[in-house]
Amino acid sequence: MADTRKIPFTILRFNPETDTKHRFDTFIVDVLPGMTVLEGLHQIKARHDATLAWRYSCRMGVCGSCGMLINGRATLACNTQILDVSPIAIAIAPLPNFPIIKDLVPDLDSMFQKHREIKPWIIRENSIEQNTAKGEFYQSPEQLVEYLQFSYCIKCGCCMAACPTMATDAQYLGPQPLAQAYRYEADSRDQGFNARKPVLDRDSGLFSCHYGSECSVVCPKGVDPAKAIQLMKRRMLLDLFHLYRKKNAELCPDQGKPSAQDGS
Amino acid sequence: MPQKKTDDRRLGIKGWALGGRWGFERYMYTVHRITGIGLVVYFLLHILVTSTRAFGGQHVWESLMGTLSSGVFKIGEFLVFAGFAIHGLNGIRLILIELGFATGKAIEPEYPYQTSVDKQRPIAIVAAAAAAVIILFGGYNIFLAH
Amino acid sequence: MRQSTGWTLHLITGLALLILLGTHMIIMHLDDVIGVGNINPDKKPVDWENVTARGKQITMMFFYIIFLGCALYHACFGSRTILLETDFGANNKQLITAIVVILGFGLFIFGTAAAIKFVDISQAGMMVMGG
Repeated sequence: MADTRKIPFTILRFNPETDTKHRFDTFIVDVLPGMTVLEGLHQIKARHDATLAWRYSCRMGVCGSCGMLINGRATLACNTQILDVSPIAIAIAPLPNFPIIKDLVPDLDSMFQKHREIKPWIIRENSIEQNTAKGEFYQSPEQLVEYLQFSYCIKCGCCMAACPTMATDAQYLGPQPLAQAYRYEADSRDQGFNARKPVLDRDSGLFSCHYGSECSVVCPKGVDPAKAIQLMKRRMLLDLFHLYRKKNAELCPDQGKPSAQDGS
Repeated sequence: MPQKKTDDRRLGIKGWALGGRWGFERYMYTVHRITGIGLVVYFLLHILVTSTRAFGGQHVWESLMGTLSSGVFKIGEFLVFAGFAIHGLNGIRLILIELGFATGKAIEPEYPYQTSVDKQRPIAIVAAAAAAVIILFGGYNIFLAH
Repeated sequence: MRQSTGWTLHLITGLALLILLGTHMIIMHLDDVIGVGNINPDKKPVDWENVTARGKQITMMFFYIIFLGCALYHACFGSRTILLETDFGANNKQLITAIVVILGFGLFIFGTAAAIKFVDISQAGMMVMGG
C-alpha cells in the first residue's frame, strides 16, 4: 500500500531462563497510518519472532496491561500511535524501576503490595454501620469530583516507571499507591485518615515525593498522581497543627427503593 | 533447568537525568538536588572558613581572603551564587506546589487531560527566568565590577 | 519524629533562608549592583574593616546564629532525605540520621561560639582602630 512505511522497532529482549543480561533486537515493521505500537508488536510476533513476550488484554486503554517505555516515555502501547511517536524509529523497553519477567513484561508485584499497604478501600469508624448499612451514604456531585479523577487509575505502572524517587528508592511507596491513598481520603464516605497516617507519614512515604511530576505527565488516564500527593501533603500538614477537619457523609436511612415494576 | 534470573531495571541515580524522555519539571527535580548538594558542601566549608576570623584573627582572615579572591575561587563563588538563585527560586515554586496552592483542585478529567503540571508551568517559567536574571547580576558583580 | 514534622520544619527554614540568605547574598555578593548593608562602601564586604563593623553588633550576632541554625537544619534534613532515598541510605537509616544530627549540632555549637567570640574581637579591634 502507498501509505505503508517501513519503521525499525528496536526492542529490549530478556529471557530469564537463558539470559544473564538484556539485549536489543531490531525488526522492520510495515506501518500504516493510525497503527498502534501494540499492533506493531503483534506484527513482529506474527512475521518475525514468535517468542517475543509482552502483556496486553483490552487493546483500548482500559485494562492497563500494556504499559511500556516507548521512545523514552512510559505509556500504553495500545493507545499510542506509531507515527505520533516517530516516523523514523521506535525503541521499546519494559517499564523501568520494575524487574523484568520476560522481554517487555515487567513484574508489577511490588506496586500491588504497596497499593495494599495504603488500605485502598472505604474505612468507616463504625464497622458495623459499614458492613450492615441500613441506608446510603449520600454524596453530592461536588463531593464526587473531589476524588473521581483519582479513581480512574488502571494500575498500569507508568507513573512508577517515570518517578525519579522510585529510580533510587525501592522502598518508596510511589505515585500510584500515594494517589490512591488520597483518592480514599478525598472521599466523603471515608474515615480512614488515622488508619493510613502511619503508612504515609514515614520515611520513603508521602514526603519522599518532591514533585518530579513526570507521573502526571505520563498517566494515560489523566489521574494526575502528583496533584493527589500534594493535596494529601496539605491535609497531613493541617493534621500536624490539629487544624484538619473533614466533613463526612452521613448515613441516610433507607426510605424504601422503588421496585423495578414501580419504575416501569 | 537453569536458575531463573530477573533483570532489575531500577534506573538508580542516573535515572535522575537519564533513562527516558522527561519533562522540564523532572529535570528541575534533579537540578534542585544537585544545587542543594553543592550548597551543602560549600556551606560546611564556609562555616569553617568564616569562623577563622574569630579563632585566627585579622592576619589569618586576610591571608585566607587573599587566597580565595583568585580566579578559580571566583568561579566557585559564582557557582555557589547561581546555585543559591536556582535552589531558592525553585524552592518557592516547590513550596507553593507542595502546599497545594499551585496544583489546582481535583477536576473531572477530559481528554486531552489538563494536569497540575500545566497548572504550575507559569510559576516554573517565572522562577527560571528570575533565577537567570539574578545569576546575570551576580556574574556581573563577581567578574566585571571593581 | 513524624516525617511530616521534619518536612514542615524544612519548609519553614527554607522560607526563612530566602530572607536570611537573600540578605546575606545581597550584602556579600551584590555589593556593586545593589550596595546595601556595606558599612564602609569603599571597601569590599569581606575586608576586615567591614567584617568587624558587622561582627561587633549584637543584632548581627543573633542574625548569624539564627541564620546558622536555619541553614544547618535545612542542609541536614535535605541531605538526609537525599541519602535515605538511595539503596545505601535505605539500609543504613540510623547511621545516616546519627551522622547528620551529630554534624549539625557540632557545627551549630562551633559556629555559634565563633559568632559570640567575634563580638569581643570586633569591639576590641574597633577600639584599637578608633584609638
